[in-house]
Amino acid sequence: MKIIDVLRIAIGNLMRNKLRTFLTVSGVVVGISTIVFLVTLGFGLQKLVIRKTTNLEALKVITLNSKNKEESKNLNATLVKKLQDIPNVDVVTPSYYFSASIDGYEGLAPAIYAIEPSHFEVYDLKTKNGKQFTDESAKEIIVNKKLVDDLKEDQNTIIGKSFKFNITGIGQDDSTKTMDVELKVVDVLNDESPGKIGYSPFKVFADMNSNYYNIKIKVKTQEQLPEVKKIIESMGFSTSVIKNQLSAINLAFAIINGILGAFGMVALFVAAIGIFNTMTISLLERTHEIGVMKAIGGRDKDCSRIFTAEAATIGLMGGTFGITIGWGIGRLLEVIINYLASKAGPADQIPGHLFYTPPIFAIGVVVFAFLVSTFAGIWPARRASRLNPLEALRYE
Amino acid sequence: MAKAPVIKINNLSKKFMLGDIEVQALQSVSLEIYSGEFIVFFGVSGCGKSTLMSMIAGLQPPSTGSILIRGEDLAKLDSNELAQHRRTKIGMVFQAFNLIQTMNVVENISLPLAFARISKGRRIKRAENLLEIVGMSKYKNRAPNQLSGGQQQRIAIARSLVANPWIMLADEPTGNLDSKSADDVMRLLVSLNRKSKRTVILITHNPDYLQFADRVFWMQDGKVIKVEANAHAVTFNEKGKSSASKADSFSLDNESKDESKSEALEEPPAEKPETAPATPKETENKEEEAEVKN
Ligand SMILES: Nc1ncnc2c1ncn2[C@@H]1O[C@H](COP(=O)(O)OP(=O)(O)O)[C@@H](O)[C@H]1O
Ligand SMILES: [Mg+2]
Repeated sequence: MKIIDVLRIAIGNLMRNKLRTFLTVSGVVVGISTIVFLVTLGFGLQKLVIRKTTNLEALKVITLNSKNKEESKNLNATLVKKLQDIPNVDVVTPSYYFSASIDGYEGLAPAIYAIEPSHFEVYDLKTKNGKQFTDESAKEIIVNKKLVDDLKEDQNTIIGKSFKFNITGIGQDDSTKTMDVELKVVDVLNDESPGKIGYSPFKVFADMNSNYYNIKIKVKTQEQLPEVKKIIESMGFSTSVIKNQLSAINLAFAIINGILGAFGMVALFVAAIGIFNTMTISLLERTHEIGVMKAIGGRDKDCSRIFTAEAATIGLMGGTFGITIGWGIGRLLEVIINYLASKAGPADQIPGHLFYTPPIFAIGVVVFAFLVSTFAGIWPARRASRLNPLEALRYE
Repeated sequence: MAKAPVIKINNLSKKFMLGDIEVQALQSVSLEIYSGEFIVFFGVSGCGKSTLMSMIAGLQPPSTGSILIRGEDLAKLDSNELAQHRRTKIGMVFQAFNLIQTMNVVENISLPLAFARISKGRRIKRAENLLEIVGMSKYKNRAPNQLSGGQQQRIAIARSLVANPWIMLADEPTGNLDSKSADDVMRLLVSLNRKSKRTVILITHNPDYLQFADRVFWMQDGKVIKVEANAHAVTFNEKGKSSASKADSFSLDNESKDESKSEALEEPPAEKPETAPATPKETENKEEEAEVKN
């Protein structure tokens, strides 16, 4: 018998008892949509955490540190040039680090990082109002919350105010250098750091003639990062990437997703029992019919295939509806949560996408439902194939 | 003239165990049936007629003895080959009609062709041809339970013919029918035999039907006790009796029957009998070959 005819008969049989088919498919739908809902929530939260803790740009960045004083001498303009020549490197940007004091604020010693405004994004700095420096050498500063507090200022009113900073650094010749500069606050950093920190444009401090604090290298795509990292390390420098942190997040979520998936699996297992039950009842009801089919020339295989096809169809329908419904519930919840969040709090508190359905996962789930159902139909199908047609024809 | 039998049964016995009790359903039955014959197995209920028929169909194996269909021993066939044997060489008609309730008339008739992997279009065409022969064209989309017993039996006959089998096995086909429907069914069976030289084996305990047979095998207690040849087997004389729309195509006189018989004897053993509206033979054979390869 051709597959198409097996399917025709199988679907005809499923249509015959619509309520039973509906209920059996519903079992699979519940199982699959539970899995989909829970696991896509896991995936979504994973993405959300990664998105909120790091930006995607940050995943392309390698930081080149100096382990000691000797090494820090090598972090200079020459090295920046050299790094720029490594293939697939997009941006190379150095920074300074200074300690500072502020006129009128006895004992307050903030750390000042000097960075290139044109490569602001490399530092993954989130400011309250989204402001940046006006230009490459603007005498401006972005301060963090802790520093605002220690200046006894308010996060809103501090913007536009200027402070006199006394900067101390070490020159390339190991001498201590100082510099007085008045810096205007342009924005406040959105962070929870316990340290007092300020960021200013790199060029403001050119005269200090200091060694670089570190160099950040941004590669063109995330995939190229390991290769570039290796090259830099082979040059004798130690590097760090955000990836380590990321793999910890990913591991945690792999565990969470596994647990969520296992819950859904229980529901699917119950559904598989439902399919088994339905197919067995259907087999008992159709004993006579199977006997007739064999008497008029149906092979044992044809009879078992009809049953297998019925179970598989239930699985495929359950899988397809299940993923649609699981996805739909997730979307609905997402919209509601985002709506409530937008009413309740500031814009940056809206979580955005909470559910994420990777296409591979979607396909995998449907295939899985299909396989589980087919498996549940194996035993009834085998019984159908072994059925003695004469016994069956005797049932009258 | 050497006749090659379509069915050759040698010393066939069948035992059943009912708990500790042994039931001898058939005892040392030997017989030969020739192409184009109309055979009646006659005997009281429980004498082993159905058992014999199911063994010819390959639905159960003999305890001892053998069954050869055109020289081929059924014992040598595996389950797939037996299914093919039933599909291509045997057409079965039962007392209980045994139509599949969830399929409509056309689907029921064409089901054996679906097992033979023949395309839907060709199946339906063939089924519609047969519907015409059995006079049921109007009912092609009906469900079996929307038909009378006689109508269902005619559909079952159409189904048994759909794969153009050599042998028709009809096990008390009129047992559940009123006399008028029974007449219709008998007329159909007789005309199928007379017109298309098809071998028909009828199982019955109704003595009225003995007159249609070329030969009657009298059975008792699992044995054939008497074989009676009937030189002047009767064909329905349709003096206003017919109600089937295609009755004309069934009415054949004795003369043409004899003619067809002599042809049948010369027919090479491997060839199948022909029904008038069969789909072109060549293509059907191709399907068959394709199936064997599977
Ligand atoms: N599967 C079976 N198991 C046990 N006994 C059987 C079986 N099939 C047939 N018989 C017995 O074999 C005998 C012949 O049965 P059957 O061929 O059906 O007779 P008939 O068709 O002539 O009425 C009966 O006694 C019946 O009870
Ligand atoms: Mg019987």
